[in-house]
Amino acid sequence: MEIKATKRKGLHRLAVSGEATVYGVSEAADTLRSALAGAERLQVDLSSVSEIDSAFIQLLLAAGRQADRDGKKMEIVGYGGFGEEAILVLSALQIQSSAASQ
Amino acid sequence: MDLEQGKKIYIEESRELLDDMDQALLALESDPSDSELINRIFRTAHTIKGSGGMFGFDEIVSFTHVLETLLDKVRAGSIAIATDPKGDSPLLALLFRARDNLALMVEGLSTGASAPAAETEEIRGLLQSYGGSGKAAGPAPSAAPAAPGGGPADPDHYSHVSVRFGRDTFRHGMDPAAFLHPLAKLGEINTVICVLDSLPALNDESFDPEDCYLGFEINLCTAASKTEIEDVFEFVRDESRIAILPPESSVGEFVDLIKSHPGEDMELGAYLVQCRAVTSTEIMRALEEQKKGGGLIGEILVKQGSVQKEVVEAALEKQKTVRAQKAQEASSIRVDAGKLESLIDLVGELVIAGANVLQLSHKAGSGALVESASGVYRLVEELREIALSVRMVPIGETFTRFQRVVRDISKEVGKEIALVINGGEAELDKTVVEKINDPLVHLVRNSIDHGIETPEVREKRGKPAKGTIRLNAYHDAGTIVIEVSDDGGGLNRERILKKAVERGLISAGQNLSDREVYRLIFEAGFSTAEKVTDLSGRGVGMDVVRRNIEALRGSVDVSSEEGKGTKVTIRLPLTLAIIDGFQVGVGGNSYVVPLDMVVECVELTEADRRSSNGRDFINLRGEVLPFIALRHLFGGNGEKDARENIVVIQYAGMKAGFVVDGLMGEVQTVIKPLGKVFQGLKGVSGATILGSGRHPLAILPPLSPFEGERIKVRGCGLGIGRIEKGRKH
Repeated sequence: MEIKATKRKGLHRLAVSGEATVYGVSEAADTLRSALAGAERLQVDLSSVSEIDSAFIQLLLAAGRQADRDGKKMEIVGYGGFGEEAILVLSALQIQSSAASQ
Repeated sequence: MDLEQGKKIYIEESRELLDDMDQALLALESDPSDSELINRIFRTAHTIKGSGGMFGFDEIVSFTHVLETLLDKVRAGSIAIATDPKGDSPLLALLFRARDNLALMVEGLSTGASAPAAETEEIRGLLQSYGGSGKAAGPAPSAAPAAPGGGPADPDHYSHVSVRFGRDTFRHGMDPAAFLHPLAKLGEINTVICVLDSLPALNDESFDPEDCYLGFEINLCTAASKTEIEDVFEFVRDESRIAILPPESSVGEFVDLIKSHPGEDMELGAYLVQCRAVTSTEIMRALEEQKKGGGLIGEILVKQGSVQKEVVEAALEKQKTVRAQKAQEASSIRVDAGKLESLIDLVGELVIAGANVLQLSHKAGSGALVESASGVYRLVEELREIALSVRMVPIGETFTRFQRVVRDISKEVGKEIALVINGGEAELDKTVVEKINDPLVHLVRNSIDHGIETPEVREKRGKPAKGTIRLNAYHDAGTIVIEVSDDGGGLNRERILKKAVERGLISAGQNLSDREVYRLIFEAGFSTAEKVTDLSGRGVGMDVVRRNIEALRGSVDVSSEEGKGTKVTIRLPLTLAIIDGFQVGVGGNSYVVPLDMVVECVELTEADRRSSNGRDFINLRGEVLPFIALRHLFGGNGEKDARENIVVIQYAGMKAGFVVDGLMGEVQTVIKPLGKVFQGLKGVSGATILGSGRHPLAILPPLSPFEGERIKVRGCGLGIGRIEKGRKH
């Protein structure tokens, strides 16, 4: 897994590529923490991700919670070629978040 | 966790589960309609199978699987528990057999012996074919919908699956999302809700990216059975919480789900939504209502008709108990018995060493030293109390096992017998509990076989056809009393006498009280059963019972009334290791009497001695008190003190006195068994070491029941020592 960070004014963008799985999730957590700390808005680009697992999705969710708490905005832009399970999970999350925002 | 350790825990847990299954089967026998019992049996089988798979105990897993499959059918209602007019159920009999075989297999794990393969195979075959349709269901987990008419279940239905994954799921290489795929194969996944209640935010300290905080609520449209759904989660079953609700679940089942929900501190509304008992729009509406008018969300939901009152109550209760449960979970741990044993040994040594320090500090005469030594001693005393209480277990567990014993044996001999248990909460030392089991089994068997009459005889005698055996336990003066009584025919005095004369135990024409006659049944090689049965009557029983009980420093007695019943009373010390003692001095030696037995101490005055007229009785406030001079009993040397005291002892409801030279007061005593050379000593049940480390003390035994002119002193575990009055000038 590789994470490239670009910064433009208050907008941070993290481009994740390769296998986004539990094996790199601790480092990814650190990257996300520091990115979130220095930005008003955080975009995570998953379009180059070849594989994603629940651990990584969970990490993104935790980051989302943190952003909510700090009054910042975090969004996912672009989805890569995930397996159908991951899409199921992600869609489940969308159901959840749309229900919460109602 | 190393594998051996895990195996041990597995065996231990399986034993408990099998006991539970036994209890549930027994209860089911008396109430076959109770579906909760079937669930309980199913759960125990399921857990044994699940954890067995973790350790690769394939035999157990495959056997339990067959059992579980049958249980599942019973649970689903496709097989009924039919009873014949006699109250026997072939299905229950088979389940009992399967349980016993499973118990053998589990025990085999520790002993290395395996359950008889032929028996296992036979039972497996019976389980598989039971109910006729067994073959069709087969072992192959078919993903295809069951053939129409194959079972009463709907071909397609919605199931609700609720999963909370364990924290270590990721670390074990598992991905929660990966379970959705096989689930989707079983049917169609309608909705998946990802439950994130326990997920912290990124910067929270409690967040570890490698921990799993996820859970799913899945609505699944499938024809698969519950077991098939469960099998999807096989690899995470042990660490995760999984609940599967059948289609169109009733209120009760939602209530159960809420109760079994992992301990997340969730909002009531969220609970209900996630359990699909209400929809989120209903919740929203209720929340708005609450904002306007106030009140409790649960009440509003009920008023709206969104949800049944019971569901709300269960959820509320759940919220209340979540935190309490967390505290409770940590309050019980499993400890290796060996470790406990060495702890108690060490505490025993500490008691002696502490007493030594206290004694030396008194000698040194330093006030501060005495004070701090006393402080230490007091703490040691408390430590001793706690250490001993750790080993105390209620006897009830042992008692309830007898339900099964009574059921099986009474069936075998064709009698109707009920077992009534009282005082199961009385506690005693675990080692004592273990050792008392065999004697109890023997006594209960005796009662069933010889005590209780056949239903015909009972009716003729005007008694209810169903006999009753009672197990009763209670605490009494530092001992625990266990009674085994029956309402059977009672002991036959004439027959016992005849047999005793035949065996040369007594001479013909000897005049014995009823009690003495009854006690003869505890003599070796004595049996009055007219026919030897499988169960008892070989005459090896009661004397072994007595020996076992005496080895525990206890005593056994029997009372009986012909035609009405028999009662065997066992009296045991609460603990074997450390006691509070009362130290007395006789002729230069010290002895310790268990403090619990000491009632009072009185002076033996010259006047008393004269008026007793050499008969060893005094008048204690109008009561006759027999006494024994320990000086005579143990042959102590040294000068006789001018003043003597009587220590009044109470045991088994009777009083007696020990005449001693000096009273030294209370002392904590660690009882050490006597060496082989001294085991023949009568009246002494062990030795101890005093704080000074110098004086080995003898422990006086409990005084056995005595009557008339004869006083018996019983050496516990050492046989009966009789002191005839005539022998003691």
